This record gives sequence, structure tokens and C-alpha cells, in this order.
Amino acid sequence: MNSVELRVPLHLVERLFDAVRPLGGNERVAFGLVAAAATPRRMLLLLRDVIPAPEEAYLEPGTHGARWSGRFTLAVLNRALAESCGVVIFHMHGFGNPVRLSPDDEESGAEQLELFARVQPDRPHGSVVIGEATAAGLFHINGKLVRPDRFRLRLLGSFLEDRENRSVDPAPVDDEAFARQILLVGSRGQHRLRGATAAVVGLGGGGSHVVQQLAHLGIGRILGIDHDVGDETNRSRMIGLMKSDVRESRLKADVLADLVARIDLGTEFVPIRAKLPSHEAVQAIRDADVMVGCVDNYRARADLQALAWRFLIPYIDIGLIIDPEQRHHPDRRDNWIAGNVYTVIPGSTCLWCTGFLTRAKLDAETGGRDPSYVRDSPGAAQVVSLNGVLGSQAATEVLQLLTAFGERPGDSRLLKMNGVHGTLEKWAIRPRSTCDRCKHDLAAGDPVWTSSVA
Amino acid sequence: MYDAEIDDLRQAFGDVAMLQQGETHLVRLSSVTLPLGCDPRATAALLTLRGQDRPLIYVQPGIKGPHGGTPRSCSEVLVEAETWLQFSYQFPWSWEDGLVRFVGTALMRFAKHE
Repeated sequence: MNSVELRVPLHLVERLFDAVRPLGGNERVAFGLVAAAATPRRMLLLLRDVIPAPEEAYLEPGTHGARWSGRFTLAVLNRALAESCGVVIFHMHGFGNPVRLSPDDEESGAEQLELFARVQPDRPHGSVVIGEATAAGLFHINGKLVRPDRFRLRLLGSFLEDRENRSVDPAPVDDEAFARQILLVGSRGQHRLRGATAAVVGLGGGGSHVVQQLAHLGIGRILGIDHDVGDETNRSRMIGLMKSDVRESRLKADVLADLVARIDLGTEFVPIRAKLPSHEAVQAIRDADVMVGCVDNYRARADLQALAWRFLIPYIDIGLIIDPEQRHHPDRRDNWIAGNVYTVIPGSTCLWCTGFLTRAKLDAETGGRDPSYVRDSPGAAQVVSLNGVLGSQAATEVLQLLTAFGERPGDSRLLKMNGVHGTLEKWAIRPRSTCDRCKHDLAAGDPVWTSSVA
Repeated sequence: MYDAEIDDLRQAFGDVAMLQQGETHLVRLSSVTLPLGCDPRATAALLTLRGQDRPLIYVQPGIKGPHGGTPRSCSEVLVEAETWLQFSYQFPWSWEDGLVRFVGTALMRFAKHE
């Protein structure tokens, strides 16, 4: 396995760093329980919990480095077994660019990982050192020790902070096309964009705006997911859809592939001609750094929310409701054109926490029957310029996640659009500590089946 | 909780894999046989068990029925981040009848020519 990425959800970032920051010159360690998921490009390790070593677990240090009791290791292993998790040991070095595991770290790490693998053979394990801007790791995956060519520690927040096993001093971006953009995002930000993958689910009125703008931003790869053809009713609002495309019944994914090719700023567009939750669509989403949902039903949103939490992928959802029948209603005449841009960060508020997703809404879509009864709403009002506001903001949310062009809190957020008055405002949202979905889905990774043979 | 039922499934279908999420038990059967005329003839199936509720059953997507097409009133759903085919088929059943009979009867849904 050449590439390993370890993702830390928002609520564990501070806890991890507090646990491993050296105290009085002494190294400290924390254990992490991790789930795993394999994607075409890398092995994902998803941090489910951080277990700091308590003071009483530390032994007298040797020549250097931390030593801790076997009793503490055993307690961690017992918990890992109970929760079907792998174990990762974290510590921190204040030196080295890039930071590296010392020879002692390598030797002791290898021993520990072999022990973990004997106790919990089917789960990946690791030893990670965190530096100021870089990180390095040694892993035990699929029965052997692995020193990946590429290791990335990703810290989730309003910005996806990556610490990798290589120095980060990118050469200036020498492309006149992005010169003005770089004044905002910097060369590093532009490189981050170029190295990123966004999944855009739904390529119609909202998604086509997102794709167009991400391509202009110079994002590296867009996975465009939609199974549908563009028809005549789409022509007034789907960016890039031509009369000839409708005549030829071309798929929306192929129409946008052409659009991105014409923009020609280096973005690779991968058409996924499939519908969520098909295997093909799910596999594509797993490979993304960020996902944007531009769908028109709650069922699809529930699936995207589940995938975002399970694989620790930030999820931006846009939606628009235009209800002309309410135009003259005394209670609705100010807000009968309503849109939202949700940016949900794994480890913070989810769409179930906020009440945006509820069982009742999902049941209402199908009349309480199975999902095959979900019907699109072909007759609902849609307007390109209103979609464009939401699509543009979604692209800006992606830009923020990848480049940190603006400083903002790391929590999930909701922007609500009032299309009547032309406003886009931030609304307060709070996590719900009793949210079952957060507990069940967060950092769950691939399911772990226990086999039993006759 | 379902030890006896799982044993029965193992005897009838061979490989069985399990996963528990809270009060829900998921049971994956690596190979069940579909009615004559279906393509493929064998596929994986998934049961979700919760208390004494009637189980839910899924099969792998991509099945063609005896008529050569995709069976009606089926839909792909996400279960534990995996894509399965949900289908509805009403038949009388109670826990006394056992899960092996449940699976066998449910799969007869794909014998329909439609």
C-alpha cells in the first residue's frame, strides 16, 4: 500500500494535540482507535477516539522518548478488540522538516505493531509522529509492516489541514490564468486545489454551476455523478447544456465533461453515469476529499450524510425551494423563495442533528414505502440565477476547505438564502449530543464482518 | 440473541458473516440460490434483524428476472455503506417458521415473470 491517509474528525483534533504535546520536555503519547476503508488511491484510517496515556501509565524514560506500562497497552487493546478497531500510537516531535520517526521510534513502533497485529490481526495499526507542519508513520496493514511512500494526516475543520511525510514548500504556480486568484489563495492554496478531488452529486440546475466554478478554480479532479439525460426543461438552467445535447439525449455527466474540457484549466472531469446509491456512485464518493450534494430528495441527502460521516469527508449540500403559490400568503410572502447551503464537517453538527433530515421527511417522500417510490419533482419551479447563488457559494465553501482563504470557526454551518429579498445569511446550528446517526456513522469506515463457516 | 437462527442459516447456506450495530444484527449470506431463470442464479443476501420485528432482506444489485429484465419495485439502498437491492414481497411468516424458510420464500419473489 503506497499511500495511507489518517483522518481526524473535528471534535478529536484538539484532544489529540493536547494529548501529545510534550510536557516539560518529556514526550507524551496517545493511542487512537481507528476504523479503515480502502479506496483505489489509498488506505484510509479514520480516527474514532483518542485515548491519552494517563500520567500514572508513564514509566521512567529511557535515553529519550516516552515509555509506558504494558497494563495501559492492554487496556487499549481490549477496547480495540471490543470495538473492532485498529490501534495507532501518536507522539510529537518539535523538529524536522519533514518530521521522521527516529530509529528508536521505528524499532519500538515495529514491536508494538507486531503485538497489535497478533491480538487484532484483521485491522490496520500504526505509529505516527506529528511535526509542526508534517507527519510520518509506520503501519501494519494486511499482515506486514508498511512504510508508505505517501502518508497524510488530515485534520478536519473549516480547513482541511494536511500534514504529510514530505516538506511543504511548493514552487510558485506559474500559470497566468490563476494569477489573480493566487492573490487570495496563495501558491500553496492553488497547489492544494490542484491536488484535490471533489465529488459533485447531481449535475443539473445546481450541480452544473458547481462544476463550472470548480473547473475555473483549477481543482484537480471532479467526480461528476448523475445518471440522467438533459432534457428541454433543463436548458434554461443547466450550465453547458446545448440544444444539440437535448436532441441527442446526452447524459448530463457527458455534457459537463465537455464543459470542463472547454474551460481547459487542467481539471480532470470523471463522469460517473450512475445514480446514488449505486455501487459505482458510492465508490466514487469514497475517493473524494470533499463532496457537494446538489440533489432534489431527502433520501439521497441521507445517503450522502451517511457516507460523509463514515469516511470523514466534508459535505456541502445545496437546495432551493420556490413556492409561487405562497407568494401572496401573509406568512410566506417574504420567504417563498428559500435556499440553503449546509457545510457539514465530520465531528461537528450533522444534517440529522439540525433536523434538516428526519425520518418523517424521508417517509413522506415515499409514502412510508421503500425507496423505489421516491419520485423526482419535475414540476418544481427552478431558476438559473437563484441556483447560481447557491452553486457559487458551494464552490466558495470548497475553496475555503481546501485553501483556508478566510479564517472562520471549524464547525458545520448553515447559510440560508432568501430569494425574495436577495440575502444569504448565516444561521446558528448546534450539534445534538443524543444524535444516533453521529454516534453510529462517524468514522465507521468499511463494515467489519465476523465470519462464521459451517 | 439469534444464535440458533444463525446456526440454521449456516447449515442451510454455508458462509455466514455477522455485524452488530446497537440493537440491529446484520447477517450476510455469501451465497443464496435464486429461482430458475434468474441471472445470476446465485448471489449474496443480507438480513437485518431487530428484536422480534419481521426481518428485512436484501440481495446484491444487478439481478435479472426470468423475463430477462430488472425486477419491478426494487430499489438500491445503502446499508452500512454498501449497496444492496431492497425488494418487497408479502408472505405470511412468523419467527416459529425460522429464518431459513423466510429467506427461501422471500427469494421466490424473483420467480415472477413481469
